[in-house]
Amino acid sequence: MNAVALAVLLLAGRAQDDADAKQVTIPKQERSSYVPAVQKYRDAEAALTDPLECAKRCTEMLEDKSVREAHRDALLRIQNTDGSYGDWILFAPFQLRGRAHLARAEALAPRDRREATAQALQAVTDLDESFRRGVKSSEPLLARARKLALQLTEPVPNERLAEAERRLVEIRKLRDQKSPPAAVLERCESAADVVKGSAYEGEWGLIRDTFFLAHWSGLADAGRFRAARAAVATHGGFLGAAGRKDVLDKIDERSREAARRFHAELRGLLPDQDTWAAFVRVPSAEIERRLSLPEAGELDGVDGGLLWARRCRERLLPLRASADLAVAADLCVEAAAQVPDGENRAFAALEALVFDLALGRLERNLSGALAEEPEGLGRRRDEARRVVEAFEKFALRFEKEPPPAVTKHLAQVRAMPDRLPLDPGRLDEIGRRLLDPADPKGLWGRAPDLALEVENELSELDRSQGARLSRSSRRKLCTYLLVSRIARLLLAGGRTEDLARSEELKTLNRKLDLDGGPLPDVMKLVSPRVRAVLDRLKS
Amino acid sequence: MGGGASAFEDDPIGVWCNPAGMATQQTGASFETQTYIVYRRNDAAAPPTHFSGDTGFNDPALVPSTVGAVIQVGTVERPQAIGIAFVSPVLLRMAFDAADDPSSPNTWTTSQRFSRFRLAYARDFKFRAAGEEGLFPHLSIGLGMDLGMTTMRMEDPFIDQDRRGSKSEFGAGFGFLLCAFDNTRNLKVNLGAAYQTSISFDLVMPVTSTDRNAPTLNWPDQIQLGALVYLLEGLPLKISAEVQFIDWKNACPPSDVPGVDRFTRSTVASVGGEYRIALSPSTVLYPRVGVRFFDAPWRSRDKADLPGVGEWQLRITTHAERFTVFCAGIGLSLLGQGGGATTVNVAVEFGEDAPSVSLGVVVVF
Repeated sequence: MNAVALAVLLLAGRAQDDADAKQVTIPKQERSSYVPAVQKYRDAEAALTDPLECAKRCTEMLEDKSVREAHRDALLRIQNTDGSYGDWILFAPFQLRGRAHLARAEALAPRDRREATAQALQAVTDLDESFRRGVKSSEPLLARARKLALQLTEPVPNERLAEAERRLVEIRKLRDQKSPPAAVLERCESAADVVKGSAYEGEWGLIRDTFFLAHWSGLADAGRFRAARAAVATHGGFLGAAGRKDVLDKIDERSREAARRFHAELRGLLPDQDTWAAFVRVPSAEIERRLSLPEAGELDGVDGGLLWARRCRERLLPLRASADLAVAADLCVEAAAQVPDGENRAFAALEALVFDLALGRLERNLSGALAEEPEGLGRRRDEARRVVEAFEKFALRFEKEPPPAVTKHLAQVRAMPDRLPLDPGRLDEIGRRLLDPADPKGLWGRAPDLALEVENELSELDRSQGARLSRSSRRKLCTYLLVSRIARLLLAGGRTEDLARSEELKTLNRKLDLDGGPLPDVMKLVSPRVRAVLDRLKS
Repeated sequence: MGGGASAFEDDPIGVWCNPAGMATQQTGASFETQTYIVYRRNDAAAPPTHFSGDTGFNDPALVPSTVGAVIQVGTVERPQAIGIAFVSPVLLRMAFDAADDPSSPNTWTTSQRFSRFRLAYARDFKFRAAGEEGLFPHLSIGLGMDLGMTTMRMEDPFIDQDRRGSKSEFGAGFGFLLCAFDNTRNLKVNLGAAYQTSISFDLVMPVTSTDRNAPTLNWPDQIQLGALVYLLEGLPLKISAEVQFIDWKNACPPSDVPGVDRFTRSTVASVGGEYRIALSPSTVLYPRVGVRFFDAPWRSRDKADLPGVGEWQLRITTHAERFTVFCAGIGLSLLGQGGGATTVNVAVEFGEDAPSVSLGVVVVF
């Protein structure tokens, strides 16, 4: 090496050590490859405080085909674009990577002997290559790396290894005895300091991982979600933050899965058709079994679906006895807020139950209403109105607009009271006209046909609405019709004995008897001859 | 640096000056524009008689003096390059007079521009490894094929006459560059030689009012011999010396003007220096000075003895037969992180019939 180059190296502070390194003059045609390469080398050198990053950059440099293999770990001088030459520069990626590996090995040695050994051996390889290429400053680094590698690869003192082995034997024994996972994990954790860095660390880690998985997943499968989460906090210290989050996410998913199973079972208990009957037909024990849920103490705030399921079940079971429409409606409205991102089967089931409860109460009101006296009929009408109002109130409790099923069922519920018996006011008006002595078209009229017009009107009313009239209305209609017809026939010359044999009158009279017989108030007003015919018809 | 560049190997202008000089260059491009010495009417006489030297632009003004590029296509062991360039080094804005023509008693002004479009190839032969010191480390040779162009405009503003013509012909150029010695530290000596062929345009352009052909010239032969010394470390000085022989004598027809000679051969000798000052790791300043000794292609500055071209006699006002031209310039180079550089150069020259200025940009990748 010439004197000027040597002076430059002396100024650079690395001179004598690297004086034997290969000196290479890079012609300007290769500036575009070497100027960036030297800059990368300087950047990597500045990154030596982060040995991993520095080693990574050095590896990239060593794999860079634009820099000739022979020019690595050499003194470079790059010709300038004007033909002059730049300063001599030590370009030593092997040495730099070796330094990075050595720094990493020294940092890892106290806590990770295996990785430290690997790093030290890599440092030896790189620094040896650098020294072989004539970079003398690599020599002391190489000696340091070799010494460290030797220390790290020496056998572990026997006492420690023996203790590690003893601990692992205990752990194996617990495993083979199928001990509870928590017990195995506790033993693993207590042995950690002894086993880590020994030859048994791999097996120890495998057992710990296996039993950790078994522990938390067993708790979660048993519905003990709070305990499962606590197990992650207690025994999951070896996981990183991301690993712990992953496990907790899995526990949350199992909680949601349990809530989905509850929804499915509830739907199975409450089908769309004959919902109430199907519900009460299932024995309580089977319902308890199908709707079984984790204990409240095993649920956290994140188990919202299961917490609701518990409230639902607690109120649903007494409903079998009370058949309380309001309670069912409450449950249904609460269910509507569940499972926002999927099929809400609990809501569908409970809505079917609410509808069937309402429908059942309305149908019971309809049943036998035709034979009901006015007072009873009034009670039935009040009951039907209450059911409709309850359903309407239920429909109004949904945010925005009610679900389509609720809207459809509301229309059906509203239509039901229309099927109760009728009491047309027109019938009373006809009766007043018929029995009014001043009315020329009533029973006291002068016309030969007497109240024929009223009689026809009553017949028409009987044809159109007779089947839907209440018992009292039917009694009025038949009384008016019978007395007006008998009076008209008597006036036309009919004899009492003949009229009493008339099949038409007999039929009308039998219908009247079924509804309670002629109205006493009317019978007081009609003539004795009409009453005589009626008496004969009875006999 | 006085104008010599035959022994340079780091400027794309080598495509023109000496194709061999581009063999070891990085891929790059250069652009240069300059002013020219033009002889313009400088009196109020009718007809005018005084045409003195002045500073003017090319004709047309936007045409650059040099624009070129070098593409390195070889390897470090076998450098070779392809070059392409357009040069317009000569602009003859002069005045001529057909003294014995009674039909045209006036002086005509001429503007003849010479341009070449060159495609060149160069190859370097290494005798020593890069960085190895000793004699004759490498030799480069280069060859260029040219398409030459000339345009001529001749006018007599006094009688409002204007003639124009142009012509293209082929030419060539070749050269070598020998690195005679390089100790890679503080001494490197380059020797360069180049030959640019003449181009015989023989442009015939009758000037109808006098029934004579215009005084058009051909592109002259040009021989260049140069040397460059790099002192490098400690004293980053670059010194160049060059001599050029330009055969204007055979570039024009003999003089038919009685008692008046034709143009003569011209010799240009120059010496110059460039110093390298690193302002920062990425900025370099190059101050330059030079001197050029230029034998004009006329024997005498005396108007009566100015050369003739056919029946025309040159009618310019010149100060000398031999000029000493002083040159000064500066270059600022910005080095890129990718190994390339962009250099801006400015130069001025004094001592000829008019000063001139040049501005150039060189980019290497």
